[in-house]
Amino acid sequence: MLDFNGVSISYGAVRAVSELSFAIEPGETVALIGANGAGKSSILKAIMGIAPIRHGSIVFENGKLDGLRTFQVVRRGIGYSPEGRRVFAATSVIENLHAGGHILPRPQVPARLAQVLDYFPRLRERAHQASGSLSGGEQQMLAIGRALMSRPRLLLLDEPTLGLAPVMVQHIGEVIRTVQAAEGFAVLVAEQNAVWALKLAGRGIVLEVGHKKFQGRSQELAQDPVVRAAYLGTD
Amino acid sequence: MFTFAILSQIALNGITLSAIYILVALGFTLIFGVMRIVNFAHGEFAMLGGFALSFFYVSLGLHFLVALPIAAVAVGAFSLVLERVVYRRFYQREMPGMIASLGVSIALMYGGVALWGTHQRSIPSAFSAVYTIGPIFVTAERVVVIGVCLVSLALFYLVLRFTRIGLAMRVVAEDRITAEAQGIDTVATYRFAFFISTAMAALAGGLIGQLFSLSPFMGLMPLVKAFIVVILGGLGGILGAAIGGLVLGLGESFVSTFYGASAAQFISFGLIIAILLFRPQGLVGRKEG
Ligand SMILES: Nc1ncnc2c1ncn2[C@@H]1O[C@H](COP(=O)(O)OP(=O)(O)OP(=O)(O)O)[C@@H](O)[C@H]1O
Ligand SMILES: [Mg+2]
Repeated sequence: MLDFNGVSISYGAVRAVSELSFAIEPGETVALIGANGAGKSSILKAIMGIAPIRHGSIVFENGKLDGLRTFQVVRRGIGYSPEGRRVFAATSVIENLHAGGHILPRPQVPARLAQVLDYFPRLRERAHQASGSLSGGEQQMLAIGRALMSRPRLLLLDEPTLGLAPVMVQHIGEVIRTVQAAEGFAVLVAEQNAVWALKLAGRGIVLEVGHKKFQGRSQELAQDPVVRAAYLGTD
Repeated sequence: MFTFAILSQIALNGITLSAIYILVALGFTLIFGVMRIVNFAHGEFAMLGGFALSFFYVSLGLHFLVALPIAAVAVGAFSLVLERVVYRRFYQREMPGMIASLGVSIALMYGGVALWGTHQRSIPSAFSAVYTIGPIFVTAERVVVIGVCLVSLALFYLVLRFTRIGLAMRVVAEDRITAEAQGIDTVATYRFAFFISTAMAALAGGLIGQLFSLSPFMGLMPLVKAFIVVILGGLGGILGAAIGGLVLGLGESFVSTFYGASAAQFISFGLIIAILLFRPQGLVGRKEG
């Protein structure tokens, strides 16, 4: 459903990603793993039309995404939870979710809101609180819930476990799995926490300074001695 | 001399001024909050509002309360041309944006001179009734000014707080890229905010033209007042603008009654300098992160 064809991403003279290709099938979960600066966020931003691409093309469900503005990418059916969560701190939890549902026809908003709040009951308890006052884990749930509001067919998650306590990391993984089983969207998750990401995903792509180093099924990657030594902190 | 009647009369005058100042300042702070443009031409949109009102009300003979919103919408629509040609290139770039808008300000001012000449004109009073409430005299004109401002402020609040486009403006102001990643067309949101802002300025300009007088140079006063209100109340909020506007309007009214108009100007600018020195976030504002 998503084809990333020989894409290069540069910021001025800095090249973040070089001629990278990969594909995502409907309903599957793919993990992008790699160290700081490997280019994970740049890939997600390129899909969203936030980072400009230099070469190649990005195709989603037979339509080209490159050249579209970010809001148009969302309208094509892609949801995005950015690195660092970036909830709208001054607005309430409910309003953040409403913003996430901006592209829905108005009559569909209340039902979708109720559904997302069912996925994240903690957010329901905090519904009218300013989002900036939430804990890190709650803000992460809000960022994911906000991305789910538009009923995406592809969900992009950038470092959803960053800075969270182990219990919360596990909880977020469970919720993503449950919701995905119910709604059937595909997930592309960028993570430094490779152990967690490879448990969530069926396939993984290991990046090193903008290049694909390894790719394969998650179990295989998790057992590969080189990958284990370099990215899983085990040997 | 401090009888209740006099004090209430002064307060009423002050509230009339406040209403206009709040209207001007809200649009000014909206453009700054959403697209980070300090719009030096804000006062010129008020000036255009005055002349547009004069056209629809005096030349075409429409009813005042019909001509006023039409004039505001006309100025708002005209401002979208400038948004397209000039402002859009300067969003999120405060310094260049300030200079560009200063250019727009001067161009509009002298455009006005070319079109309408430099002599002051006035818009004939639309309402001549005078009511007496106890010891105070209330002219219908002032009631209309306060009423128009209250209705616009209420509408502004309701739109910002409870509509989809209002939420879009708020989240675009907070984080443009993340807002766009929710499927919000930020360019269209900017255009809407710009329209609202200049239309409110034009509304205020019409009221100023009616209460005082009309001239191509009349934009300076509202711009300066918007600055003062924003400094008093802190940038961005409705509550801040309301408090800043009330403090300024009432303060000016009292000081100028007892000590003259120049004392009022002197004190309001002195107050501004003091606030900038000791409380730069405004009276009700919080420090910017
Ligand atoms: N806006 C930018 N301007 C210039 N260079 C950038 C920009 N964003 C990213 N880069 C550079 O591009 C490279 C890839 O960055 P990217 O954020 O994609 O990495 P990442 O894998 O997400 O890293 P992290 O794990 O730290 O989030 C880095 O060298 C980074 O410095
Ligand atoms: Mg990153």
